[in-house]
Amino acid sequence: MLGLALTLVSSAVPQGIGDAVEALCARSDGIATSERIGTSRGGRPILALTLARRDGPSLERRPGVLVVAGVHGQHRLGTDLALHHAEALLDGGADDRARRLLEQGVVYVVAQLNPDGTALRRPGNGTALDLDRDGSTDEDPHDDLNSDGHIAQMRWPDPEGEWIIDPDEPRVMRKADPAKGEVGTHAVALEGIDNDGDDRRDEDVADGVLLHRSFSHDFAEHDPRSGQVALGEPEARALADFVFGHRNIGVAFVYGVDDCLLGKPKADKGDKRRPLRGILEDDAELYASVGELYRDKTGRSGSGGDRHDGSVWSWLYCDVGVPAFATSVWSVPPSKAEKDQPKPTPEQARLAQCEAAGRGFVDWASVEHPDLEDVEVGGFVDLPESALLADDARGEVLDQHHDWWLEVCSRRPACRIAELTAKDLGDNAYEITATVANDGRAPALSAISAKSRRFPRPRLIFDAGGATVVAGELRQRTDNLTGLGGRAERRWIVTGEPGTTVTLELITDFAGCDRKEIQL
Amino acid sequence: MRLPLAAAAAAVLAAVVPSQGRKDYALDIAWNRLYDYDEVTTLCDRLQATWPKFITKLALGQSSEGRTVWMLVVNQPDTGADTAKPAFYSDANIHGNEVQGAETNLYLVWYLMEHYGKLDRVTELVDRVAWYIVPSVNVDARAHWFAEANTSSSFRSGAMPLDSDGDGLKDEDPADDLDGDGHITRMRKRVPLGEGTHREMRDHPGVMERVRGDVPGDWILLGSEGIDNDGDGRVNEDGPGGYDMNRNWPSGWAPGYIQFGAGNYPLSQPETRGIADFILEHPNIAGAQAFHNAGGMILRGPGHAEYGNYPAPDVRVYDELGKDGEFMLPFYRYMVIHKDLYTVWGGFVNWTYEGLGIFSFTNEMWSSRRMMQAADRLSAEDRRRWDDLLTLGENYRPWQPYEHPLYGAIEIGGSAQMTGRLPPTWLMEEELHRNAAFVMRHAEQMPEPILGEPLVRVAAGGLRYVDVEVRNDRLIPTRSRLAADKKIGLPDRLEIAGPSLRVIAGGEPIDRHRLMRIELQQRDPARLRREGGVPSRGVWHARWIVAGAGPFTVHYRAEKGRDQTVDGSL
Repeated sequence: MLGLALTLVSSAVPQGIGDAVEALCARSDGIATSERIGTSRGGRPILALTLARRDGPSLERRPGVLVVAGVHGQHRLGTDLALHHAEALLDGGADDRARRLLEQGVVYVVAQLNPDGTALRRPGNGTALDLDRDGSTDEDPHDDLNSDGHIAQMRWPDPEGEWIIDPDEPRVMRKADPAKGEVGTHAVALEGIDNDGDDRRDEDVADGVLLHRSFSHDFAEHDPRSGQVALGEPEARALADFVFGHRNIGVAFVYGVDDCLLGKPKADKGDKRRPLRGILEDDAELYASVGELYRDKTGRSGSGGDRHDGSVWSWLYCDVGVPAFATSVWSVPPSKAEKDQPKPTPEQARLAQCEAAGRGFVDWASVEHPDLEDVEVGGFVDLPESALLADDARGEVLDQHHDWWLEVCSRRPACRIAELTAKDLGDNAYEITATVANDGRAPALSAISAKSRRFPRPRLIFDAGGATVVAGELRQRTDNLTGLGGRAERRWIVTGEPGTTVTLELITDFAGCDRKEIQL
Repeated sequence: MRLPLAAAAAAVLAAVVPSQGRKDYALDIAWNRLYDYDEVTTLCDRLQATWPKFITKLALGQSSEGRTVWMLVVNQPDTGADTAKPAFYSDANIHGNEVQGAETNLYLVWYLMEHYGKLDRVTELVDRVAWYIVPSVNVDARAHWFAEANTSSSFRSGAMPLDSDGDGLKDEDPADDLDGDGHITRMRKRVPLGEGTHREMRDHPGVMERVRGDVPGDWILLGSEGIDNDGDGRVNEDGPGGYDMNRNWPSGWAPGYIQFGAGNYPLSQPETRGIADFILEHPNIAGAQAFHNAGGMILRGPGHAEYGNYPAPDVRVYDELGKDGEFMLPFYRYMVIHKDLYTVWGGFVNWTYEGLGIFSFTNEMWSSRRMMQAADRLSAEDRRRWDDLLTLGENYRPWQPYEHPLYGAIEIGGSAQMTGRLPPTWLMEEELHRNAAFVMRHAEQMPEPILGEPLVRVAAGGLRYVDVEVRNDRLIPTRSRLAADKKIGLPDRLEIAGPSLRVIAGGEPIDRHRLMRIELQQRDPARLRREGGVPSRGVWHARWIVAGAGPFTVHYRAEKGRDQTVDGSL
């Protein structure tokens, strides 16, 4: 245990990602471009990066990968990972997966959906709320009583309090355990006073609308922290308009406080008479395999939490029809007992992590409080756990995640016209046969993409040129081509002069496009 | 109690002697016809120009094709700003082809203005209530529906192009007015006897009936007039738009694969967004109405069974208004959307009630039972007879031969565009009035909380009791039970203050005879809050225990009621 008096807080000034994005684009040799896709409630720009080699098929015809981060304003590790993907793609020439992704696909990165939250150091955006419904907004926030730049805990003696000073680690507070005969001695809360004189403390905190609860699937209507209406916040709409403007997005990754990779997301049969209550049973294997790969590559374990109402990933999945994978990237690992030592409490584990990271904890010290006696401020800083990742462990975490991410991206469907033949039937009649194949690992359409009806099955457009079709469809769809070699065959009979060029075009939204010609 | 409206009304009333049998209108508008978008705009201007003191024309935003969605705000400025009064919101025509609600809303404004100062109850409705009237929501489709050939059911959608058939092209295969008669009618083709699905009615040649059993048919029907514009082998499969703005509202919104036409996300359309922004900024809206057609229905939510039931006290309010509506609107039935009609996710009146706690109805205007003023539905045969004898053939396009590029020799004909969902012109005004009257009935029942004079009584130890009552004699409470349960908006508030007055405690008396029996509010006793507001035809009785002396003021505030103060003295 460290003996010195610690104030383990980060002094980094929160800032937007504009400079980082600009620098990245400048050195990308034209691979990375950025655009402003919207403006936050507080007037800050929301940026999207597009990464792809620009030679080759047009971007909207390529399978797209979406990365969204910085939805929770204080989850900066997610933003770091999103930008790390971009940087690593630019630097990762040797990695075949990265090269193919940039050549054949396109990556869209919205690394900081909630610039207000980052700038204002709050979970939500810049929207003012009246949580206590007194007609004023944000008028009783937490207060930095000791002026150290952070909101930590405060404790004061209270015979009705539920907390005690941990006898094994007096720097942390823990709940008294009545089963062990412990009686609470203290009350604990976040730093704050009764700013508006209504006899309540911190009842109208300035947290903004929680964007990660503000999307339409399973939206918690009437919880003001989710926003007045689903997708009512400008940041959410900016993302939605971007997503609906890019039909080629076939898979998405969301980095923030929600998780569907450590735990197993709930599955639903899919009743067409009501909204989904989980992922489709037919996509359960997809989620299981991506989750298993995730745990393998990152070494993480534990459960990911079960709150998904209004989340970005459940919206992308259920309401947009795009499989989306969400992770918190890092959290304090579940505590394990050392040999001959008792298992650390969660508070002790968190303190150890604060020490390793050099931030997130403040030593207790007395402060003057207008309403309470003998108040001390200290303990844990109000931050998501992801902020406690030690700087020297950060590189490894980002690399592990990038490796996982590339692997999932490389499992995308890849449809093509495998064969196009013309058989001479005599009398200038020809039988044209086409075989369409999916060489990718994923099916052309996931169960949700097919069910959503936003994404039609692979389309074939037949152009007989100067010849005439006497049998067959000019525009048609194939079945949903399964992964790893799913095939479909289609035939036409045409009549025309020998040498006439017949063209077949294959179009999918995100499983690849192709075009082949043949001479009669 | 010093409501300024009484004075304003009295001043006007003194000048007017209503006469029976003759009405001199300030503005003559023909109510036996329909108006296209530009004409609706012109009528808004004429209404505004005739009653400039009362009517303001607001732009709620631009449609996807750039037309303005207009709102008429009707307010008597002498009795306060519109935002300080309970307000009634009414719109129509969110489905482009469901047109006559726009005329109904314009009629409502006109009727209120023409009868202000002449009929006491109308005068009260203008003095006491602010009116937010959107004649037409789906202004693009309205413009197209009148300007171009349509069926009575086509152009329900907005006009934002959409790839309805998933071929990458937008709106590329609409119906076509092949015979150029200004109507989209139907196509039929003669086939050998026995191969058809339909035949002509014996007594009414031209009226098609489906054949059943061993009756042979000699016609097949080929759908709406049109060709395969995009050569994909299908006819009319991607017409204009292809979405439903009345599935684009936030409460109970569900994606397109659950709810056809829902749009990308709640309020994704400019028309719905503009209206929602206005409504969210106006918590004084206490009643809402949307006009559709057809079928003769007075609808309330829930839109889907998953919602469960509305709270019982609110259902009682709905039922009373709904029953009045059934009386006022012959052959209309008061119905619950999901139970009695069909499931709707993201409907407008679902949002205004379930999301905002505002009592709201949708009227499906015009019932075919009104054709003969009889409860029995007309048979297809009698319908044709009605048309022959009463509209002299106006509602029916005779079958005409046509050489179709895909189907060969066919015939085109059938119901004209202005039939089925609309009253004939000579029943139009009655339809408008009955529906406008239903709105006025609803608006009359919006809460009117009235703060009474304070009553001061001696308590022990030199303290006093101060009692006030806020009384609402209307059907609708100041806060619906749903609004209270879901904590929508702000509770009603009663605040007492005086320069030498100190509030010891406050709450609600629970015993008529024993003054000390009070349900005390836990904190901040000078500012009492009541989540449930002033109930339907009920009272909020408040009591404070105060110390001090001298004058004081009690201030009542409610989102859906007028702010009021009364003075008293200890």
